[in-house]
Amino acid sequence: MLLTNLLESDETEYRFAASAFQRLISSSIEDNSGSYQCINPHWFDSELSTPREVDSTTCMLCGYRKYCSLGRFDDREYVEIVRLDSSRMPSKKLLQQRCFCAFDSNGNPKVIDPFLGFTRNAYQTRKLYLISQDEFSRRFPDHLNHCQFDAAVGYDSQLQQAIWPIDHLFLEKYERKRVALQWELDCIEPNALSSGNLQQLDQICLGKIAFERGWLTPTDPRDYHDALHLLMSRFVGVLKQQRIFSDLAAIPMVPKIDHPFNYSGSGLLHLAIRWIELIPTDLDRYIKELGAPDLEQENQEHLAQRLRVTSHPEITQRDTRYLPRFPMISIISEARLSEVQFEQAAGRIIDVILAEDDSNLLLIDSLGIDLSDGWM
Amino acid sequence: MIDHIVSLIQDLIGPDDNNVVSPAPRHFSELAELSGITFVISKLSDAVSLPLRVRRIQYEFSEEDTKIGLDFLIESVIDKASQIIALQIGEQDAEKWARDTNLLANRILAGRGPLGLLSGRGALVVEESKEEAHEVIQTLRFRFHDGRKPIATRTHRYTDVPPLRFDDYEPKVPEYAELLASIQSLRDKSEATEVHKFHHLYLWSDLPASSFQPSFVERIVTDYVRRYRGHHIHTAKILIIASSSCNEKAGTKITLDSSERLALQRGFEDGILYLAPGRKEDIFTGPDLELNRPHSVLDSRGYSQDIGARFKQLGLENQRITRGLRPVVHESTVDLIDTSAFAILSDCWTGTWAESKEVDGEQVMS
Repeated sequence: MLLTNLLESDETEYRFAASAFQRLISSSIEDNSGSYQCINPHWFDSELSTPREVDSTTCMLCGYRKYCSLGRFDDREYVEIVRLDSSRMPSKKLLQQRCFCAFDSNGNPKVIDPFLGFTRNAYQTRKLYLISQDEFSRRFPDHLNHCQFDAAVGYDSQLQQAIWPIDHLFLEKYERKRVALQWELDCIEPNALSSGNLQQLDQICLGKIAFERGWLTPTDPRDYHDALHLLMSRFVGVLKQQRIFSDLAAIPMVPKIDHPFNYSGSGLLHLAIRWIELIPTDLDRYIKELGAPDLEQENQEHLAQRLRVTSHPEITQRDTRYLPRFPMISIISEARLSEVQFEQAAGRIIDVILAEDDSNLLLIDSLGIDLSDGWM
Repeated sequence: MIDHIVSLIQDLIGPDDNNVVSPAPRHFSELAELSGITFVISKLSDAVSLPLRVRRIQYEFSEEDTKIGLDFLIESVIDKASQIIALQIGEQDAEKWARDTNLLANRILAGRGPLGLLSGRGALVVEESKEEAHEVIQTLRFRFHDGRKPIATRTHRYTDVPPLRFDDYEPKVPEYAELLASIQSLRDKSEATEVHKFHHLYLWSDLPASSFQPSFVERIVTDYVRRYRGHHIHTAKILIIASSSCNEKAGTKITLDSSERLALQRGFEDGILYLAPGRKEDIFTGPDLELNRPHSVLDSRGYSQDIGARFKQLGLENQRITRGLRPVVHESTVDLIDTSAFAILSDCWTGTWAESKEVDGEQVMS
């Protein structure tokens, strides 16, 4: 009957159905707890003088619900906090008084949505997620960029690494040019380029990044340095042939803001490095199709093993590979404050709330992604 | 210390359209209501909520009408230009140009406000002037898909009153007339749209202001206000002023508490290290070092060791804000005092994406 009621499109029919529903459930209101006398009984086709017992369910169907003080139907937007692990829920008082509270211009406390400006759904009914920091770190680790994540914009859940602005632009264009790029990779002729041809500035930049990433070590023979130079030159060469990437590479890139590195090189070099890290299957493809003489092939393969970013098959089945970096609020005891990391690969802590009990929790706005659906 | 810094900044910037405030934590509304240029001086521990504060100021009382008006005018400019570009490279590529340009415009808006679209690096429109005989010839260049091209010119004599804004421009060819008109409307609207700027300064000191060399504190604050405060709508810095040795009897705070140390995570590297040796340092007592001031400050073993030890005591040694510090020696000897001191001024990430290719960070990916 409730469904029938909700499906009525005509006002009169809706009211008729609501009245019938009210009559039906009024018989089941056995005690007075939760019930009260309706002050608009005429809406349910009753005489004003006839007392009518209603409850909050009945009030939900009443046309006066938004205007009636007795209706007790709370029409306000709300957030539901969903626990993603066995963490203990902070007290309602703590959340209301510290997390969702600020002061107006007169110094009076007011309810706020702390995620205003971080999500388009601020002040709207939605789910927020609560998880311990340990569990979040386990689920969304950083397996690549051991650096500051301040300017990262997203997270690759398959490769478990943060995404920077230039990665985002690259991936967009890559999806449009995937076939062309892979075809170019397949067509690399070892004889066409037998030694690296990067500019001096790029060679220096590549060397620094290679040592930082562990692609090269101080004890490596010169051959490995040359092999890396050659490999990267080939990837740069492929990108250079596609105007869409040359144009992208021409945009000035700010180190640690647009890409994760602290070193300046040409845009094409940074794109090539991130290409290899973001699409490791293309590196595999390059090695497979290269067909170089034995020593070169061996060096390239050895180096590719070091460069290859490992994917995590247990999560590859999920629909969403690329996630936004979640805005999060840390709820933590004072004794554990030193554990807080503001900038994490998959999220950014925007505020810290001190809790009385021993805890280190994160309250996450998932930006529309249902984190309880297979993510945890 | 906060009151002293507030007072120094007030003296420096004067009262016109400027505010210097020191709000209590989570008093965001009073900040969001301020207009003009505002310096917000807070204690260091408040920096843990910096991203929250910045976004609340940005969004709490968002001027929807203004934004809608601006959005419409920006879209109009891009649309008119896109129509011209479509004739040259086809509709599909023109649409792509329009999308990219829209992204660029949003980025500039977020970082520099509407006038950033019409001047400066990456602007959609730039105005150039050249002088010939008794005239000034000005050209408006628009950033098309293949670079900036002249779309309109205007001329006035030296003796004339120069035209205002983008008034009196004539299109170079009739096809540019609509584009020019939409740019002129955007220029007028941009001027009418107020851009409010907020400079957040998070402060920590181990002694009251009166315990430091007065000219040292003044120097730091003057540098901050006049040179290093930044030009974006929201900038944030951490300022630590500390004595180089801890004297508990004199009331020196020994170290930072846990929230203050956590707040340091908001700071970036490559900041400035101000050095102010006191009169008892060998820089002033040793004749050789004194002769070679200010360079000898960096060679003073005692002072350097004291600062190193104090860094450790304060828990600064492994913090990002102590990496890549650029030393600046404070030289004034007129008001020299016994206490040696140092200060660190470091940028913080406000998360407003002024420097980045993206506009709203996380939201772009969602």
